[in-house]
Amino acid sequence: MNKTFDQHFRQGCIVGMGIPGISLAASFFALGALFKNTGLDATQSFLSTLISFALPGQVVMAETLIVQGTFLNIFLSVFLTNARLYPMTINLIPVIREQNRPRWHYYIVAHFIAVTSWVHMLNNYKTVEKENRFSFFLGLSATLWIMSTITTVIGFYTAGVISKNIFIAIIYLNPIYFMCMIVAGLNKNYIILTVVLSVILSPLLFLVTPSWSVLIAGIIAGITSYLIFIR
Amino acid sequence: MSANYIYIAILLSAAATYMSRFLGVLSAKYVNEEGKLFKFVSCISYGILSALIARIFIHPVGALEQTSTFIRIFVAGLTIVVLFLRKRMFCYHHFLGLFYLVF
Repeated sequence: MNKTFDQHFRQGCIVGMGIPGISLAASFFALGALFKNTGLDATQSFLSTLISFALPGQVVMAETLIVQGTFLNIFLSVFLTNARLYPMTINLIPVIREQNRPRWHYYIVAHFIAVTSWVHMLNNYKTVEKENRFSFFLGLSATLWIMSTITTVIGFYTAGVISKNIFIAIIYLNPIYFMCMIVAGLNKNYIILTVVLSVILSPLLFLVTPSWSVLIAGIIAGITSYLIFIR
Repeated sequence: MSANYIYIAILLSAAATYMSRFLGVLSAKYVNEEGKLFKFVSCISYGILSALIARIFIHPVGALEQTSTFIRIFVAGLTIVVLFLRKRMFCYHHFLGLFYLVF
């Protein structure tokens, strides 16, 4: 690792420890409490965030455990819930790609791709030189991963200690942060239309097909916007 | 629930999650930063993410179900207003959500 890599890696870590890290940590803190109520122990809660690091899928896993779902049921429901990571990864890798970097590095960094790091990187990548984006993203996302893993355990041990209202507010912090980042990044026509259509379609489709509404709304909105503005 | 059942469930969840990331890296080699495909994938990604946020605001699951839809939308709307009024400090405005929900 050279000096430039270190410098940008460190810069990513510092950004990660700021608002993105605090928002994400709040959600994983709540997840820790949920895991305790589900019947997991501290080691299992820690391991889940360490090797999955995708909150909606972890919540679905906990819910399926409560109803004693089969392994196939758990696998498929988590896979479908986290399917959003597929387009997000395809979108992010070209942004952080470096000419001489070995391919396996991207398979490792892929584990750290989550909504918070993705939104932050996509909104700010033009402020980082192309050859430094990988190290910056690695610093940012690995910091978020470590903070999330630690706060899951803290949430597990402090479940029931904090008041219900504060607990609910903590859960709400991360969606509000995502919303702020998306709204702040609305600078292209095709993204604006996509977001507006998704926000309208998602709650409507929920009434028809609750489990598929997010994926279908996102895909319809994305394709419509692409056909109107880009094709 | 036995410990083994939970551990296997955690491992399967991790595999199911990483599969999307793995396939994403595999497919990304056909995409370049300036191409149409990149913009198409951006549309789909932003679409899914916005749909997810809208769903959390309007049809949440878990503890957020205990709050009223009006309060959730009101907090989100107020945060956006403040975001536009004080754009330079936008990162801090989502903390308003925490404040309004508690009080």
